[in-house]
Amino acid sequence: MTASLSEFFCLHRRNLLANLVFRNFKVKYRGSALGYLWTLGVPFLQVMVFYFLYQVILKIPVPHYLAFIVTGIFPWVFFSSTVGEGLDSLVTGQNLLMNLPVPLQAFPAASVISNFISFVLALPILAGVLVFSGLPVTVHALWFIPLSLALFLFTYSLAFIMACAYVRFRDLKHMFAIVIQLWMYFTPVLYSAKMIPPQYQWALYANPMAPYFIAIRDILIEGHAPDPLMLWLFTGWTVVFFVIANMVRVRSAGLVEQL
Amino acid sequence: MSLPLVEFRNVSKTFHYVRNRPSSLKSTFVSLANGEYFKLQRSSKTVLSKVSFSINRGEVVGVMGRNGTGKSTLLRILCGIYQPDSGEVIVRERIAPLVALGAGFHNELSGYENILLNGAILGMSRQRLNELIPEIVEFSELGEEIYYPIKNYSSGMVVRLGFSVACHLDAPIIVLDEVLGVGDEGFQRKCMRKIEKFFSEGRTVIMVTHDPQAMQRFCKRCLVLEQGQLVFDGPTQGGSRSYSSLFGTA
Repeated sequence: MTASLSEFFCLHRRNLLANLVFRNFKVKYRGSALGYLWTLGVPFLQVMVFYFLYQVILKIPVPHYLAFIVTGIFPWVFFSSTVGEGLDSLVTGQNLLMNLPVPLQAFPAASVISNFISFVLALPILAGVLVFSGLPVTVHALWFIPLSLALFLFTYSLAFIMACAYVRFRDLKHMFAIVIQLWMYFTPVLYSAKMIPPQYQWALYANPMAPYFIAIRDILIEGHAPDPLMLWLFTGWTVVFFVIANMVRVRSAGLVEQL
Repeated sequence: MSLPLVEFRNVSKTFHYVRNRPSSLKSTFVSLANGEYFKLQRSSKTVLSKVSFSINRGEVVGVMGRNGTGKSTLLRILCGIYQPDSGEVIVRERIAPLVALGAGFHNELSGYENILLNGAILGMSRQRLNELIPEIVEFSELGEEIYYPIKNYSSGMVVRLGFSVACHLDAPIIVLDEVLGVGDEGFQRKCMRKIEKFFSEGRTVIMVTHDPQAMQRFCKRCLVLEQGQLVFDGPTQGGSRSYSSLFGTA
């Protein structure tokens, strides 16, 4: 069990994984003088755009809106860019996979790790915004750690499933680009879950990402303990996707031949 | 008598094809809906059928056969890239695959960075790689250009770098796939010397080549594949004859 788990995360080839992660960073920031600052670029621009749209123009009734969307957009950017990059990681790496004995999960694993590093590097900004907004930092904020680890696991599982599916269905990339947009608007990233009319509240239970954002606002914005129901829901969804990803992995041995 | 390093026991591999299989989710749904999916022509090609052989430590074995007779599949199964459908493959030592040189190189990275990446892909440890790097750079003869991105390299330079990394692996089994023609004449000679060094070090070498002279020169033993079957396994002299007879030459 532990052996297969460490294989799932490609930990049995740590040197390879570290090099792929390193390569991802190198290639992404090659030739850019700002380097690390670019890791903040995408979420920062999104925050500016959405802040302007929702606060200045539409005047959304959410207090501490800047802190609110920063706690939403940073994790969402981690999630969406990981799944987007992970999706074609096998197809991009096909030259390698078909010629050398490399475990295929190394590629999506490297995507999730490099994006998670960017996410963690952006956390000081998130903390700064919380303090700047005058929000009290309580002990409940510590829930952020297990929640982020669960998000990591959920994201990796989905990225792995999508990477394998993309080998077979080559239109998935275009569909994903649209679905991820819709998914963001259906998830309480930019608005509060409380604003959803009662007759649509059920949708929150059907959306694996919704409980994460509800819980993250409970602990960081409201400063109280997270709703246990949301914790259980997110854990449940994570377990479901993790199990599916492992079932896919068991059957993925022959996938290389289809690349 | 020690156990053979490599054993193939009745190894078979069949590839399945579906003609005009929909390659997108959308077209799969459409063809499922109108029932065409169930009428698709399915075919299969047996690339290897019941291939058995074993290779002892220190042997140099050549694999010959026409195009599409399963040589590459055999090597891929040997390296663990493909799984056999049936039969058993036993490999008792580590393999250095000198196949598809430069696979996994990244165009944006420098030659030096690619050595690190490629070494990790091939399974070298960090310490070993650090020890070997000066030697690898020296062997590649790239000089200062090792610090430039490889998108600026000529194709010959890329393959040279690939060979330089792969040939420094210290695995007991070496798999060579048509890599005897790397680079210019000077570098080719150097590769030959390196390969001959493998022999003298007592490493086990399995090589695919279409060049009968290279085969005669290096290999004592030869395997000939024809339509997925092992039709010859013995001394190279007979193997070359068997190989030539596949083309109907006198």
